[in-house]
Order: sequence, then C-alpha cells, then structure tokens
Amino acid sequence: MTDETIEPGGSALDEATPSRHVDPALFEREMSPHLDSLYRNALRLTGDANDAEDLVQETYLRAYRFFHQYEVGTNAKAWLFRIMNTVFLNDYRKKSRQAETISYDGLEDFYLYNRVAEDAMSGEQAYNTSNPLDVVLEKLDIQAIEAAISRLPDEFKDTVALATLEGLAYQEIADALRIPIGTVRSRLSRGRKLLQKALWPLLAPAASSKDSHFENADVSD
Amino acid sequence: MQDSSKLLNEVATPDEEVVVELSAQTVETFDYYSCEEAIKRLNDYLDHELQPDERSDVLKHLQICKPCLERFHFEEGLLQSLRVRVARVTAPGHLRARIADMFRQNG
Repeated sequence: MTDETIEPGGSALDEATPSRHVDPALFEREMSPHLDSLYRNALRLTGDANDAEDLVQETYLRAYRFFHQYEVGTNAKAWLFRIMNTVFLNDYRKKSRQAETISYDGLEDFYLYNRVAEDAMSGEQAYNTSNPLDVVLEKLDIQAIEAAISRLPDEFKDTVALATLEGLAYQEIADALRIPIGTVRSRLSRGRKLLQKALWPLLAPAASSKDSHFENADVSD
Repeated sequence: MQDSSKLLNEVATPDEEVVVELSAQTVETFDYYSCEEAIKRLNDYLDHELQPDERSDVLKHLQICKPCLERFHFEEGLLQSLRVRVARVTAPGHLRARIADMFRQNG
C-alpha cells in the first residue's frame, strides 16, 4: 500500500477513498499550520529545494489519503512528520550509510561554552566581547549549524534536528521516528554534545589570530 | 481514547507490529545542591519537558550555582537564537498555493 505511485491528477486519491469524503476545510485547518516546519525538514532531508517541494507534496497527498485514520485534535504535527519520514526513507534516502565510527567516550557537557571561556581566560584569543554566547552567535551562522547537524551520524541527525531546529516535543519525536521516548533522550543528549564538538572548529578560523580579528569584525543581524 | 501511535503505524507501515511505550512519568525532586543532578536535566530543561517540580529544583540550583547558571543561560540563548533564525525560512508561496489547490480539486 505504501508503494503505490501517486498521480498528481488525484486518481490515487479517488481510488483509495471512494466512499469517504474528506472535508478540505477541516484538512487544511488541521494540516496546513505545519507546512513551514515540514518544508524546512524536507530541505534538511533532501538537500535540494525541488526535491523538498516534491517531498512536502507527497507527504500531504498521503496525509490526505489517510486522513480518515487521523483522529482530529490529536497531534497532527507528529503525524505529518511521521509520514514525511516514512516517505523519505522509502523514496529518497541514499543507499550508502556512513562508514565513520565515532568514539562516544569523553563527551563533555557544555563543550562550546567551556572552550570559548577557556580561550577568553587564557588570553589566546581577542574576542570582541566577554560574553561566550555573543562570541558564538557572531561567528556561527545558521547555515553552518544546520550543515553540522546534517553531518552528524545517522543515529543522531533526525532527533537533534527535530528537537533543536523544529522544537518538536520528545513524544512527538518518538512518534515521528517510531522510537521509544527514552531513545529520544539519549540520542539527543549525545547528539547535541557531538554537535557542539563539531561546531567548535568552525569558530576557530575567525578566532585564529589577533590580526584577523579586524577582518572578521563585520556586524550582521 | 484511541491510541495515536497505533494510528501512526497504520498510516506508515500497515504490516508492522505496533509498539507502544508507556513512559513512567514520575515527578522527582532532587538535591538541588548537586550540579550533576541539574546537568542531567539540561536538555529536558531546555526543551520544556520537565515536570513543574523538577523545573523548580533546577531553577533553585541555578540560583545558588553561578557556573551552572552561566552555562544553562548560554545553552538557552543559543537554542533560542537558533530557532528564531530557523523560523525565517518558510515554504515558498507557490508550494503553499500548489498544496491548497491540490485539495480544493479533490474535495
């Protein structure tokens, strides 16, 4: 059933739900608030704007077809993310998995904060500001952070993205990815630590020498 | 009340076994002098997953522990800033229109 091709003209819809009428207004009310979030997730998953649009469209088509199975008032966001994830796994995911193994030993809490604070204290770097948060926000743009998330091992990538970027609740993530909520917590904990470790070197070029401090003094946002 | 995770299974993979996990939601309070106990709850705190009593204990710890306060605020600030910037990306108008049209046709 999940392998049916979906015709843009809607013939698959007619086939699937001959006697069930979906109220379009109700569907739109329940489902369209999540379009932006779903679109960003699709961009993250496919890495391409056109593929992302196709993935969003296919997700909504499938949601429409199975709308009779959705209980109005329950968590539409988790339901839609679940569908998107399934569609993506079936249709888009590349066959090669990451071969890299990561050592999970010594994953530090507050890795970024500690590195920035250490640097500031040791006098190694001449930061414009004494606030570690400002240092990080100045040097890291959102694209760099999203790219770093997409480079995380498969195991952590989705959980970290859904919690950190899209603000899904843990139970919503558990439902969307079909994993236990305890697994959400442990993947998030390790994943975010790995992310911070990955972000630190991205700060380094900007903070690399006292001379370049002036070159990088562009103020954005 | 219907089991929503069961519904999700039916949509995505009708043949798969339904696995329902019931997480025990116990409200614990902890020794708020302990950094370790507070840090254990960092992500839950950041993502607003803590029960009120636990959240209150984390806040009590932050009141008495400046190093943790600075680090928790850093994490909070980073996350908030991230989400603000992320939310600037929205679905393109033509996609929104295309989806709206799709369902008006089939309604």
